[in-house]
Amino acid sequence: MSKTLLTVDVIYAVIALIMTVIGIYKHFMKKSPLFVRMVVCVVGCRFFDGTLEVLLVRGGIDVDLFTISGLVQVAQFLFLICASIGALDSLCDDGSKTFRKYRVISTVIPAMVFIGMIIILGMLHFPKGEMIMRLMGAAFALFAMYFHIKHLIIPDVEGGIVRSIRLYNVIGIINCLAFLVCYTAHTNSIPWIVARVVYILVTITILPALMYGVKKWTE
Amino acid sequence: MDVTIEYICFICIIVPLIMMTITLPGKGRLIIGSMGMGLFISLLSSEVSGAIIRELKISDMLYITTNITPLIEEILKALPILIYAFLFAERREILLSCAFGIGVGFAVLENIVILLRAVMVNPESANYLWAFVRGFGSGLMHAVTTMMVAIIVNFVKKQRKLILPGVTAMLCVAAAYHAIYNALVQSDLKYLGFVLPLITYAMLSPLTFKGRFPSKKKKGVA
Repeated sequence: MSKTLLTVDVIYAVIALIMTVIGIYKHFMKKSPLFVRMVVCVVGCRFFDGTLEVLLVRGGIDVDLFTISGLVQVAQFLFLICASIGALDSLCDDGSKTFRKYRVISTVIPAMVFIGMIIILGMLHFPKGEMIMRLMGAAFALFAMYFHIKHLIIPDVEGGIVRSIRLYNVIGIINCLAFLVCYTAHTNSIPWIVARVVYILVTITILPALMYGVKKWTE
Repeated sequence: MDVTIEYICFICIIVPLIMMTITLPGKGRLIIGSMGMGLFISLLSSEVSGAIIRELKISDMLYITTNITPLIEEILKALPILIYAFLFAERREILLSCAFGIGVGFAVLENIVILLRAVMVNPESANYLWAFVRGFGSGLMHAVTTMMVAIIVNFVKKQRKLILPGVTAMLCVAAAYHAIYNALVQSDLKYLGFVLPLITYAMLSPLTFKGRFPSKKKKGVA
């Protein structure tokens, strides 16, 4: 089973490396918008996560314990939050009362997912310390999920940015859910492998989806 | 005994550096001062890591060097950068140079302590190859990770709402990079580990030197 884990992680790291190199070449060498660069950082985090996990598994370390690869997974959501707070959110939401219901809906869904996660972690009998650590990590993913949901359902204010980046936000939500499954399930279990495969697909599609949206918006 | 070696090495290096700092003018003083800060952080991080490892009662060296020490070292190395950037709001090049200085200072003390410990066990363990590998590998790795944090600090300084998520994210990335290096050098892929900081340094150099050498065209305009 550890061979499966290694294979999945090697594929994940290689794909993330390819996407990171393409991202750096296309968006860091040329002046791309801040939120695009942040998404390149997200893909870069995935390369670090995959590589570190491969090395730790090869070294015989139990990756179910606290590892820095878990922290890098959290870091990718911090970059997504940066992308949203830094630019996207101000373009989508002007802070007016009209959009209050969309903000509430976007808060309620992650909150419900969080409660569900607490129940599942309790049922899987994780030790208390580990459970708290996993819930803290999940909080960042849920915060990123809040922005993705909001930017998906909020009506377009001007310029049509919301419609353009809809696909990116759908991929963003899938990404958050895959992370939560990875964080909730035991490493090497079937849900974990499925979530990891989804992770690989997200790694391939997230940057092109955002660029497609940006192109559509600026046309 | 081990801790004493670190303190002795620290005093041997920091005293001439302090003397030099007093005589140097402005920018040079800042760079040498950051190297001294790096030496101090190296000493501090060995104390902090030791205390945490004793408290957690962990004995697996691979787990410690890939999951505990990178995190502690990167957080401690980032603190002076953060304080310096937000208190004095210095220019980008100076901030990056200081970050490089802190990383190099850190690596100098770490390399010397590791060398002394290795020589004590086996006097033949240190050779020219070891020196080049430690110098280019560990030396550059510490400088690169500190610079990564400095680049993001310099950026988020202008966008205050991004300070917390941006700096935390980059700290995690720096710690992961450090952990990957430590894991590689302890595995059968150790040469890849030594080349990794060189590649990253080459990739970061265009970002670091940007604006340092103004082009002739710009000079003409000015």
